[in-house]
Amino acid sequence: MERRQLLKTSLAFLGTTALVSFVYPASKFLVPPQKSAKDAQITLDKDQIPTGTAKEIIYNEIPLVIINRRGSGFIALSRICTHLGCLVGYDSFNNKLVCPCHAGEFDLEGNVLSGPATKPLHRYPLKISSKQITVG
Amino acid sequence: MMWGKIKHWIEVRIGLEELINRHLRSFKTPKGAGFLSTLGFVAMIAFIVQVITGIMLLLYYVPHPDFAFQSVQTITNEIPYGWLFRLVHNIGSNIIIGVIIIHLLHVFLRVSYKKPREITWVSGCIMFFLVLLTSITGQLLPWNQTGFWQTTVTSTIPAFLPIIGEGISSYMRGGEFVTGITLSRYFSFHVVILPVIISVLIGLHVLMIRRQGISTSPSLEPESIETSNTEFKREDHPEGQPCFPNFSLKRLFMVMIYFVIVFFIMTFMQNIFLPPETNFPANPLMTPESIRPPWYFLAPYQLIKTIPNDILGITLIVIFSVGLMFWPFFDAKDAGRNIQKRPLLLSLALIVLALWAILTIWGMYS
Repeated sequence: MERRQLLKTSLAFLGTTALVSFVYPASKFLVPPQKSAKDAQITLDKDQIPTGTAKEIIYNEIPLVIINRRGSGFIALSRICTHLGCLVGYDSFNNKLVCPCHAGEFDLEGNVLSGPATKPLHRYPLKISSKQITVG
Repeated sequence: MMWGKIKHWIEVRIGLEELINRHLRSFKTPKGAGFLSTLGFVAMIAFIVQVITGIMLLLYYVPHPDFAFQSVQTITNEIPYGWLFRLVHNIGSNIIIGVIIIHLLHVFLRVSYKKPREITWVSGCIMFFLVLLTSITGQLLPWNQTGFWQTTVTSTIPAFLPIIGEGISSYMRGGEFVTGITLSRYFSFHVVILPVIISVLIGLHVLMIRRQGISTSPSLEPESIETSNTEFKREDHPEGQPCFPNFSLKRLFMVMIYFVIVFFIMTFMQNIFLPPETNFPANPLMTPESIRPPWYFLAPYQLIKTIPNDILGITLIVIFSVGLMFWPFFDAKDAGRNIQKRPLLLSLALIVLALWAILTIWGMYS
């Protein structure tokens, strides 16, 4: 191999190595580490949520709503609308969850009733005892 | 007398006269270069205004979720003339987008993007998208209800893209939700990264225009243009007018119109771009009743809202953006530049414009 060719090849190799050595850590740097300390469970007294009402809580940094449905009991649903991420609110009068951004509507099981959302609201497991309800 | 001496002193050292002669007087603008041909220059001045007012705001702004909202309130209500710089920055951010849209439209309808000006067009489109991105990142900085929830919505939209969507959303937010980390990265993009990239692209854009010359009006050009050139050829326009002072006066006139519009809005409609929700600090647990993007995002917003399939909505927007950016390569045939003699191209442009207008108005009132 000629000296000039060797220089060109070495430059290409060094340039690629330098670029990859910068791009890889830069792409990793942009993603912050996941928080590991997550709440294992949240416990509430049943009295706090009478029948036909709902309570908004934060569980693992996610806004949830726990609804005490007439005849069907408690359910925990994510408040994050599956369309564009706005927070749904509980409409006790019409027994549904409504997103203020694009008027998406969900039933009290989290299923889509109308609007632009296509996926149901995420449902969280609940443990129900005689006096308390536990999320998670 | 004294002024003459100072001028001569400077002239001997800098050679200003020679510089003006070489770069402005000898640079000819073609016949038919009217006021609309100055809009690129107006957009550049508008960008400089944004940079200057942005630097002024930076002197008091604190990019932290606990202090950002209050610092913007302090700038507006307590710092002398803080309201002025905030309003010029806020109104200017809307006007610059309007100017760029009209500039793009003017260049498109003149079919000035054809060979050899493909790089000029592509760099212009990239700058347009980067200015939109600068606007998106700037919305979050005041940390108010409008900005917070607009950011939540805009950073969710890329998640519709298959495979890479979730990753893009996560990169934008720096996590699963809009938090202080999002504010920090939006701040660095808005204040440093995007303005630097835009400045470099402005340099490239201007360099291309200087090298190739301003394009002739299509009505004055021959029916068919030569696209098979294999060598660089500059349009010198020897029959045209010198850029300085003739065309420069037109530019100055249009810059004055820009300032008149900014100050008119600031005096008589100061809250037009600041809805009431901007007066409330961001509350991550309460979405406001009406959350609507700025006017220039209403069309894609309404499209996504209307089309029931999320992937289809975002795909249409991506196809339109990529198509617009690389349009010179789709329209590379040896057709003339007079759009009135190209009914297909004219119809396509009018249909896209009409759709954009309908979606914008629909989004405004839905």
